[in-house]
Amino acid sequence: MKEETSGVVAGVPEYFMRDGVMNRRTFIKGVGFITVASAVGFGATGGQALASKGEAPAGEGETTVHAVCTVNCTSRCHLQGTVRDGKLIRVEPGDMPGRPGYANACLRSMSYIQRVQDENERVMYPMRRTGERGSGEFERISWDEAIDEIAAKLNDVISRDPKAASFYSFTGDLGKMSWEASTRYAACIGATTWDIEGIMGDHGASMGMTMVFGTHRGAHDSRDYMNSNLLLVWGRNVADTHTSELRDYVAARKNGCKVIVIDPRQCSTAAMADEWIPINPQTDPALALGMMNWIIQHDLHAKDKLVEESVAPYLIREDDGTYLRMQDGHVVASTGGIVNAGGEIGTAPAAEGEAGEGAGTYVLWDELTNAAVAAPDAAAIKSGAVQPALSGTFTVDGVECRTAFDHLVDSCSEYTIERTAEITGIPAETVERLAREYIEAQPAGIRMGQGMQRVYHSYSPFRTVATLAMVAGYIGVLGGGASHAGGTATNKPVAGYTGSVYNYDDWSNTGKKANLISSSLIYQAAVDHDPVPVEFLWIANSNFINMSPNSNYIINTVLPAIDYIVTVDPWWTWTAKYSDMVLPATTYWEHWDLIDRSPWAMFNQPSIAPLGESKSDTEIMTLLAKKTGVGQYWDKTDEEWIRQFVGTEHPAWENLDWDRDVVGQGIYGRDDGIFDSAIVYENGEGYKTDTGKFEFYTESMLEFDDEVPTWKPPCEDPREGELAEKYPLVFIQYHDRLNVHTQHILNPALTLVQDEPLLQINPVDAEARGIAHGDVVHVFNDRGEMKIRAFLTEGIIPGTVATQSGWTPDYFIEGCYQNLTHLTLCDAEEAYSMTNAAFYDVLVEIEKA
Amino acid sequence: MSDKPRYGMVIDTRHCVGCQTCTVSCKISNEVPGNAQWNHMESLDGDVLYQSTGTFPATTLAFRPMLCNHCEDPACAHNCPTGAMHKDEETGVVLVDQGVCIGCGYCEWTCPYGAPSMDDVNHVMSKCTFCIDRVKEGIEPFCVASCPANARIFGDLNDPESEVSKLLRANHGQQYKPEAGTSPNVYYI
Amino acid sequence: MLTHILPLLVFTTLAGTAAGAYAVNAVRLPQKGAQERAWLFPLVCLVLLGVGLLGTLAHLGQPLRFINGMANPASMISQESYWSIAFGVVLVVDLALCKVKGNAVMPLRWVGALVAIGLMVVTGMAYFMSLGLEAWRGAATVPLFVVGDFVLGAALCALFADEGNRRAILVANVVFAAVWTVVLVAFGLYLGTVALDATPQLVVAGILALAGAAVALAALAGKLAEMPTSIALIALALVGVVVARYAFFALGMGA
Repeated sequence: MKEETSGVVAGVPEYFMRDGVMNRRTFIKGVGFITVASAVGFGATGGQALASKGEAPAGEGETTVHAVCTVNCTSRCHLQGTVRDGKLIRVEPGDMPGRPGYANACLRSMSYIQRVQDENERVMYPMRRTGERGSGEFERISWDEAIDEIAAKLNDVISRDPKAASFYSFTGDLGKMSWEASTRYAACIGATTWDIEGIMGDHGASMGMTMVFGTHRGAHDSRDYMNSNLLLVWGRNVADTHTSELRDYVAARKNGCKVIVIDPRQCSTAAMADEWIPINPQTDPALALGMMNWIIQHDLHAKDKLVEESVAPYLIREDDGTYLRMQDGHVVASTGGIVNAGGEIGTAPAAEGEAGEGAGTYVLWDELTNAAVAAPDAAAIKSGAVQPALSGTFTVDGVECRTAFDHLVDSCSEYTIERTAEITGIPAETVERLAREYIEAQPAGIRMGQGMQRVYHSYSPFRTVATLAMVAGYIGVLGGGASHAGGTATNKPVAGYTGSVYNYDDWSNTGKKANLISSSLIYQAAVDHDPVPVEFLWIANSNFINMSPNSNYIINTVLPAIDYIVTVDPWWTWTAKYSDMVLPATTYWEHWDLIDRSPWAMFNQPSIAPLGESKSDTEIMTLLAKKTGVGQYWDKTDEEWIRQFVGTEHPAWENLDWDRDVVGQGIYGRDDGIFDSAIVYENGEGYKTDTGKFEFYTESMLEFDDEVPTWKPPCEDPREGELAEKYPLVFIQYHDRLNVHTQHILNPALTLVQDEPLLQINPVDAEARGIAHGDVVHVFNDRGEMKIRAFLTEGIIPGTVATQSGWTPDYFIEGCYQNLTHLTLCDAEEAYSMTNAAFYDVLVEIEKA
Repeated sequence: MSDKPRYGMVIDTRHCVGCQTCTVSCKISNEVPGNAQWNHMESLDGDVLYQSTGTFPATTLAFRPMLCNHCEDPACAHNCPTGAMHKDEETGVVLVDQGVCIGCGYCEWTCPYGAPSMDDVNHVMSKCTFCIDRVKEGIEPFCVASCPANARIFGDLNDPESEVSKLLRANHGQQYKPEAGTSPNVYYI
Repeated sequence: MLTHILPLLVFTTLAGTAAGAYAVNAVRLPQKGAQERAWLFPLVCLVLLGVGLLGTLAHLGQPLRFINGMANPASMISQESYWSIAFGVVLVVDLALCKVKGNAVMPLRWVGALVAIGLMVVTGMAYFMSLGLEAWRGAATVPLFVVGDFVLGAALCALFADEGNRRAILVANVVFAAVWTVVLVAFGLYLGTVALDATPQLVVAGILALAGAAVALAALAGKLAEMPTSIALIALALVGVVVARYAFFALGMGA
């Protein structure tokens, strides 16, 4: 029984005692019922309907503060905090101006304050390693000592080759300044930085999106599903990973929209769906192809939309597979070979090409004139000026061609219902029903998730599913789309005003440029000095070891090849323990920052005093800049930067009041913001591809026999081969309710939900191995192992096991899930932009421990 | 219809995703001490939380968020030896007077829902208050405001025009364990 | 974890032994003449009750406020307090009279027996009323305490038996052991209906009960001396009842 449990007080972290919080947390006894001080003294006028959500005013002795959650979960929630006696005691959803009912705060952000204010979890001071790397032995030093030592190391490397100094900033804090400070610094000294996404396993989505849409993101506002009759939530556990949107899905379902979740696991989102369709991991493109095939075979495809808005009628040369191109009425040689279609990689991953740059050179067959004509834009086709042939073989200027659509049909035709069922593990009748329901829904939306793209050939899932939506005619229509990530509305152009919304001139002025390299190459860079050596590594915003594949390889091979490693982090992460110097970073509750990517500007500011001697990334880079000769680029305080960013004459800021909006509310709904639901690619406009159309035929993939959507088996294939015999189970690591990455690792209140990582396994697979619910199991492959408790559930497809991503080694009985994963470079992806770590393309075997 | 409110909650289990934002929100926002917790989560139709029910692939995954049912005839108050556990006359919610409570834990046993939770820091019973002080100010309980699925609806069951009353009429909301005879004021759809 | 169950085991076992013994020992005719150390029996019962009640304090989060726990007559916890106090008063008076008169006043013992039975019943009822704990909602819950207390009490009485009632006490040990076994079976069957299981512990308790009966029968047949009989009966009863009740508490409150 609970009251007999001893040791609770002793178990409270020491800092509670030191700061006297224990007393303040204690109930006042003898004054009637629960008088948690928080609940008294609201100034709001009562007596109204209770339905109103909204921020409650602060109680006596309490201050209301605000922040924007900057962890990488897509939501970017505006948070309302309550501070008492200098401590954050509570976090609630913060109001979103212009969008009532959108306020959200998840269980992670609410309990995060416990961890933020726990001195035992935080890096409190600059710490220099004294023991072996990984031993966790460090000594406290002063900031001056730390910066001097780092500067000395860095100046030495810079003097020989600035590119041998690397600055690796990932997605731990997506606030503009926190995120960019270290890479901005790298630019100042001409050092190397590492492009995000690839090694963290989010890049397949960007590649797939860019192939077909020309841009790596693009989503219908989730409120648009009120217009949908069917919503396929495909590989996306929105309930846990994008919680701010869940209400819209619920509203859509209440509105009569059928919700189907396609996922190897009966994930949280499946709990609110009408149907869960379990699918073998790594096979989503096959399902989409099978559905496309069924739709096309039944002549239900959207022929008009395909000819108007996609490359379907574009002619493809039979001789070399490239698009037929004409100039001045004559066929010209295609550019041939691979142009890095993703353009230069950049901080914007898989950066977009120029929309419609080559549009005028592509060719289609006009049935009105029975002649090849330069492909016009969607509007011209809609007007009837040309009547493109969707299918057919034509000879143009002596060159034999077929339409791109025919190539797609060829590719799809292999995916009969039966073959699709065999690959995906979905019963044939379900595949057929799904195809029928999808095409009959009119309209049906698709929300895609990164869950399906942590595979080899990772561009294929998003590209193929999006192509399905185009074949069905759902791209650019209300209630349709094949959406990825965000979708929080947009901003309207202000007529006649050409200046920037934000003033990033000074921030962008770095003198030199950083040497940006694909993050998929960082292991080989460290080990083989190719394409750059890594003598000095600065890690910020990243628990690199915990969130990257093959941790044993990182620890045993990659890190030892690097001379000097600095980690800047609020937490004592796995990565910090393998660093030579650990610098204490502040969290989003302790420093100034800005989130600028929505119709809202959202601000962070010091709501509590930084713990220990922690500093913001910008403050730290400013210190280092002064010691490395680039201090002139770092001449502002954090607050001064923010004031400069929003200090423009742009009409977006017409009604901005610094004290009221930035300091008081922490959020500003831009005056040019559109807060209503919005969709993308309406009327066939907005594609950023070279053709200016929906581009399911990807010329640059010809070399890899992947020019139209196909399904390729995973690199660790459970279907056949030696590896499959040895390690027959597919291992995935899903993102669940407790963790985004590792920032929230077991915030104390989260122990109410789950207190250790668990391995989900279907009873069929468990029984075959003599494993019972709760047993400790040994999970292993050639790369590593872990010991973890088995969680038997019928809610996972047999042949697949799953654990929750983000758990750190401390919580495993032995090992860690990242010991089992791998980084295998994919030629096609490296050619397109960079390899996406195939975290879910992993085979393991399991035995009772 | 009584002129006094009868506060109740309707929980739409069709849309609950088991995230437990309610559980954690309550714990943090109400500053519930020690190991006490005023909300918890159970499987709606199975034995083990987060296990799917049925046999693959014909399975369900559903949840029953649990909190104090603020019963009309609360077993906890009836069985409390001290009278600390009581039904508040003004608001009808079930509260515990921690200045009187001896911490015997009997209410926790006698409650069919396991709602009272021992405050092991102060060694007295603690429990869900329906966030009555917020409610008095016209603000929803923390668990309701934080639910990302809008699966919890709070209001006055005595008011036929309240959202809870309308929902109940439209959806045949059901009490949990009505056979325990405590007339709970939490309904599940 | 024994710590949260221990206070309840101490209370129900020790106070239960006292109550059971008092109830069993009252079943005899008034004796003539002064008895040697007549006061010892109420004293032992008083000590057992006292230690048992101290055990209940260890169960409370706020033991110094224990007086608050008598405020609600509708609560079985308050009822336990009332009946314990009444039983304690009877024991104190009995002890005083024994000391003064050198003999037990049987009408007082009969009253005491009724009070003791009341205490046993409300103790069982307190657990039975726990709507939230399915393991305790069966019909066997009250007998598990009442009959268990009789088993404990009968064993203690064997120690205090004299020539006048020894055989009756030994017969009582046999009878209560038999009824106790039935209760254990009934409890086990009930647990099965609510998908719980304590078969191993209940089987152990049952074997110990039958062993107690065998000891009593052996004594009745003159095959066992007084003192070994008494010690064996007390030991078997104590272990058997504690094992069964530990299973009971653990199923309700979590082991």
